[in-house]
Amino acid sequence: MNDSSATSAEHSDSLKPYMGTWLALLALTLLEVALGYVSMSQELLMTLLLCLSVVKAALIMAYFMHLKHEKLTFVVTLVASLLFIMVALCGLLPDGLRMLTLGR
Amino acid sequence: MTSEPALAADWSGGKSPYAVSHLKLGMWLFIVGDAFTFAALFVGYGYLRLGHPEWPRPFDTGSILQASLMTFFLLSSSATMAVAVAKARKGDASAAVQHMVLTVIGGLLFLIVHALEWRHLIQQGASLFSNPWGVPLFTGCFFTITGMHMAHVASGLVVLLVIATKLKHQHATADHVEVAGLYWHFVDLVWMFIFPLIYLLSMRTR
Amino acid sequence: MSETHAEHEAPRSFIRRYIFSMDHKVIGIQYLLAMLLLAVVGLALTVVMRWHLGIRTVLRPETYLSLMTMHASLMFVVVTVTPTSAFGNYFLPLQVGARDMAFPFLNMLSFWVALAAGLVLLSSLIVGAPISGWTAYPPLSAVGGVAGPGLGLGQTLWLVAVALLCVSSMMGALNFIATTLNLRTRGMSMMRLPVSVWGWLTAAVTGLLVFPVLSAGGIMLLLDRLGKTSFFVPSGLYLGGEVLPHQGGSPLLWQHLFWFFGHPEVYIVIVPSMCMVTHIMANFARRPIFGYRYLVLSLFGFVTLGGVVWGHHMFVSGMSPYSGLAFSILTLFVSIPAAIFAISWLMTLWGARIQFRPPMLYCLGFVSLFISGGVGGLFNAQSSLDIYLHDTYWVVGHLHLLFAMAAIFSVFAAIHFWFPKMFGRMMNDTLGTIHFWFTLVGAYIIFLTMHYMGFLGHPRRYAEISQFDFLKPAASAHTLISVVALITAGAQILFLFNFFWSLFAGRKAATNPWNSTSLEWTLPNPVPFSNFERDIPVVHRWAYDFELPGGAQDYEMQTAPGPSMDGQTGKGVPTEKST
Repeated sequence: MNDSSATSAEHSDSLKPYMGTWLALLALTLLEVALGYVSMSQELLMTLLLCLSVVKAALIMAYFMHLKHEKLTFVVTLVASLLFIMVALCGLLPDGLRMLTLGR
Repeated sequence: MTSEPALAADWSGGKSPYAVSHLKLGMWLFIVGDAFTFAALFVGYGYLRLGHPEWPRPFDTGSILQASLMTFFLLSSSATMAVAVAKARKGDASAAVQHMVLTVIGGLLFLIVHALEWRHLIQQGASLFSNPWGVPLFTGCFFTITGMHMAHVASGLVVLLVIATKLKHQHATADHVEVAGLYWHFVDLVWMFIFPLIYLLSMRTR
Repeated sequence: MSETHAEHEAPRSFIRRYIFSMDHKVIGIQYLLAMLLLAVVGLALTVVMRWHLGIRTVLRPETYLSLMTMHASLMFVVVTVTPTSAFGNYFLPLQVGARDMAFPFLNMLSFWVALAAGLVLLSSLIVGAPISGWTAYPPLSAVGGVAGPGLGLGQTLWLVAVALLCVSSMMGALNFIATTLNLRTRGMSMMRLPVSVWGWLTAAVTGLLVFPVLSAGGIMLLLDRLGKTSFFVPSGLYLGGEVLPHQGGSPLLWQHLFWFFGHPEVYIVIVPSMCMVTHIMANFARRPIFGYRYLVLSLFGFVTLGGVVWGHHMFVSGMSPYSGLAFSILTLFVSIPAAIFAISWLMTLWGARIQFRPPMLYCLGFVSLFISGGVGGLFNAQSSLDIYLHDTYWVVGHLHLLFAMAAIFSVFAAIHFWFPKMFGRMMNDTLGTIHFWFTLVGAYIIFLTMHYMGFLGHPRRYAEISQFDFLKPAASAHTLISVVALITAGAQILFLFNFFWSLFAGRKAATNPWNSTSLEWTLPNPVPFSNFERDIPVVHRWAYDFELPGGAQDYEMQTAPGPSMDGQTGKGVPTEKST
C-alpha cells in the first residue's frame, strides 16, 4: 500500500498513467457498447454494465482524481461513506416491484 | 500500512490527519454529497423502472453511437484535465492553461452533441411528461437525470474558465486547478453511470 | 494552523463586520437570532391551534391544516439549524482551537441561504400555506392547486425553502467537517475533543450524507409540480372533477426518499443536542464524563443505524412483512447507542455534588424528556404496535416529547451556559429556574396527555372532533392540553425577557464564570476577532478533568500541562518545538 509517501508521488513527470487510464476507459466503454448488442437477459446485462462502470469509476478516482496518491485513511473514509449510503439507498429498490401488483 | 503510533500522531491536532488542504477536503466532501444526489435520482429511476416491465427501449444504433461519441468527448476532456493539473503542479502555467482550454472544448463538444440529441428527441415528440415510445416516465427520468448532469457540466465549464483565466494572470495556484479538476472528473464519473444505465439499458434490440 | 484566514484583520465597516460578516462568532449569533424569530412565529401558530382545538373553534379546517404544516416546518428548521449552526458555529472553532471556520466565506453564504429559506417559508404563510403537512406526501403535494388550498404557490414556495435549506446545510456540513478535522490545535487529538464537538461533527457528517437525498426528492417533486412529470403521482388520479394526466408514478417513492433523509434528520437534531447536554452536565456535576470512548463509539452507531431504519416511518404505508420485521429489529437496535448515552449521564450524575444552576436544570430536563420519550420509541419501533399508534396523537406526543422538547431544552441549556461568552453578561438565574419548571411540567402534561389520546384512537391532524362519538372522551383532554399549552407558551415570555434584558443589563461575566475547562473559557470577553490573540494554546488533556483530589481548584483547563485523567497522557502530544 502506498501511504506516507502521500502527495509526493504525483509529481513524477510521466504523463503515461493518464494516457493509460484514458485508453483503458475508452476500451471499457467499447466493451460496454458491445455487450449491449449481445443477446442476454436484461438483468445480466445490467449487472455486467454496473460492474464495468464501477471499474471505470474506480479508475477515474484512482488516477485522474489522484486517490491512489492520497493517504489510505482518506481513501477508506471516502469510499466507505460512498458505499454505505449507496448500498443503503438500494434497500428501497425491491419496494418498486410492488407497483406491479397494486391497482392494476 | 501505517503503524499505529504514527496514525495516532496524525490525529493529534496541529495538522491535517488526511494530509490534504481544506480546499481539497472541502471539494471531496462536496463530491461525496453530490454523488448522493445522483445516487438518489438513479435509485428513483430504478424504482420506477422496476414497476414498469414495458419500459421503452427506443435508442437505435445511431443514438448509441452519438452517446458513445459524447462519452469519448467527456473522457478525453477528463484526460486533458488530469494533464493540466500535472502541468500546473510542475509550475508550467501556460501548458496548464492550454490543457484546460482543451478540456473546456471537450466539455463544450459534449454539451453541443447532447443538446442536438435532446432536440432530436423533442422533435420526435418527447417531453417531460409524454413520449411516443410508451411509459411517460421514461422521458421524465431521462430528461431529469441528463439535465441535472448537463447543469453540472455547464457549471464545471464556468469554473474551469474562471480558474484558467486566473491562472493565466497568476491569481490562482496549482491547488485551485487541482480542485477544479476534481469537480470535472466527478462530472465525468457520473456520466460513466448515466451512459450504461440510461442509454445501453434502453437500446432497441431485435 | 498558520494557513489562510488566520491573519485576516477585523473589517472596519459596520456592514462587513456585523451584517455580511465572515466571522464565525457573528454568524453564530446571526443564526441564533434568526432561529429565535422563527421559533416565536412557530410558537404563535401553536397558540392559535391550541385555542382552536381546546377552547373555541375559530379556524376553518383547511386553515388549521395550513397552520399545522407551517408550525411543523418552521420548528423543523429551528431545531435542525439551532444546535449545530448557531452554537456549533460560535463554539466549534473556539473549542478545537482555530481562528475561524475552514471556509469563512462559505459559512457566511450558508447563513444567508438559510435565512432566505426561512423567509421563503414565512412567505408561503402569507400566500396561503400548504395543507400537506411537513412531510409533503404526494399526491397531495405533487399535483398543484387542484388538490386543495395552499397546494399551489404555497407548496411550491415550501419546496423552494426546503431546497435552499439543503444547499445551506451542505455548505455548513462541509465547513464543520473540514474545520474539525484540519484545524484542531496541537495536542487536541480526536479523543480529547469536547463531546459537543463530536456532536457537531456527527451532525455535519449525517447532514452531508442525507441532505442530498432530500434534494434529489425535492427536485423530482418540483418537476412533478412544474414540469408535469409523474415520479410520485399514480395513474388515474381523479381530482376536481377530472382524471389527472399523470401516469405511472409512485407516491411511496417520495416516502422512501423523504424518510431516508427524514430519519437521519432526527439524529442531525438530537445528537448535537445530546452532546451539548453531556458537555454542560459534566461541568455542573463537577465529574468527568463516564465512558467518553463509548459515547464516541455510539455516535458512529447513530450514523450507521440512522441510514438503515427509515422504513419504520412507513409501516402504515404497507410493506412486505419481512421488510417490516427487518426495519423493526434495526430500529430497536437504536436503543443501544441511546442507552449508552443515558447510562453515561446517570453515571456521571451518580453521587455527584450537582450545582443546580439553570443550564444544569435544562440538562436534567433534557435527560428526563429523552428517557421518557425514548420509551415511547420502543412501542413505535414494532410494526405490530405502530400500525395502531402511528396515525394517532400518540406519535404527536412521542415526537414532541423526544424530538422537539428535548432539542429545545438542549438549546435552552446551551443559551444559558454560553451566554456569558457570547454576550459578556450573565443571564438571571431566578428567571431561568422559574422558566425551566413551567416548561418542564407543561411539556409533560401536554405530551403525556397526547400519548393517552393516542390510546383512545384519536387520529392526528383532525381540525374538529365533535362529530365523532368515540372521541367524546378526548374533548376534555383537548381542553386540558390547550390550557396548559397556553400557560407554557406564556412562560416563554420569561425566557425572552431574560434573554433580551440580560443582553443589556445582565451582570458582567467573568472570563470563566462556570469554572469550565474547554478552550473558549480561556478567552476574554468579548472574544477577540481572531479568537486567540497571540499563539493558539497547545492542549494537554481532555475537557473533563473535574473532581481533582486535593488542591484549591477542582478542575484543570485543557491548556494546563501535567497528568490528566483522560488515560492518554503524553501520548500524541507533539513536543513544544514549533512545527
